[in-house]
Amino acid sequence: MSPRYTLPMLCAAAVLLSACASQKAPATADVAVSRAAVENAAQAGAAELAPAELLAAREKMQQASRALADKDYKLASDLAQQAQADAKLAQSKATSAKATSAANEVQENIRVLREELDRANKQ
Amino acid sequence: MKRTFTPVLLSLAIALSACSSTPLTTSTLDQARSDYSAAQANSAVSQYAVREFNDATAALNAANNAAGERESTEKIDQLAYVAKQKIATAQEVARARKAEVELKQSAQEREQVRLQARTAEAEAAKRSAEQAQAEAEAARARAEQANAATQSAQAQNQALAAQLAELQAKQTERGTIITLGDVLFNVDQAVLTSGGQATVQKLATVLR
Repeated sequence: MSPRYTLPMLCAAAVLLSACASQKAPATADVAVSRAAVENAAQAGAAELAPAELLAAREKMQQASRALADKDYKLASDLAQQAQADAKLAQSKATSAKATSAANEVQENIRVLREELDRANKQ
Repeated sequence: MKRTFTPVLLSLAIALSACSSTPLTTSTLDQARSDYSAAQANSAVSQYAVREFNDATAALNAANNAAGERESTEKIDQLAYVAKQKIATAQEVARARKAEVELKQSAQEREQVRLQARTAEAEAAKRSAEQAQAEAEAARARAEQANAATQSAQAQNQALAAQLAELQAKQTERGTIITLGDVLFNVDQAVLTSGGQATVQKLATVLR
């Protein structure tokens, strides 16, 4: 390497490293938040009710963890934010699926009861 | 010096041209915008998922701003993706809360229907009890009628038996033998004597 390039390279490396250092804390926090979001979604039953979204969230969270370990804080933060958005979507999908099926079940109950009532009244 | 600057300038020019040719939107941003319009049109979202929708609005605004500032496609896509997922989340949250409200209403309705069913059941039971009572009374009446009929038949039988006894009937293996005595005519008469007529009359009654 010629000495002419050494100084700018060093400068660039310094700038990059300082940028990384300033991004480390928020990226770590982002990954932690996304991990919690994925766990919440799994607890809400997203594995069965929103498998695609939960899988996407898990994969992105793992990629973010890897990026964090590789000190690529920008990528880690981006992936963690995506994972968080995916996980929240998975959780709300699971919740809405459960609520919808519960509401449908009660409606079905009512329909059956009404039929029985009609039959009883006809007799 | 001059020679080293040439590639730098060239790369700068390329970078700038890349910036100016950066599209103002990406497919992800377009998708997020159209999803946003759909969510805006959904009355359930404005009713049940205000906070989530505001989050989504902020996220989409950030993506729009990034596009307006001609930031890198990656950054716009990143923001647009997050916005898109937040919009979808708002839709799902609205669906869930709406379903929960409906569930409450349905549960109340179900209780009402159950009450109706129980009332109908009780009424049906009452009706069937009344019906059973009426049927029992009718049966008793029929039994009494039958009893009376039996009694009258017995009376008839007894009367018959008495009449037969009067005719001095005898039950034998060949059947009932009736001996008619004193069925006489007066001399030179074709008319039975009154005693004979009474005997024949009795026989006629029994045979009838």
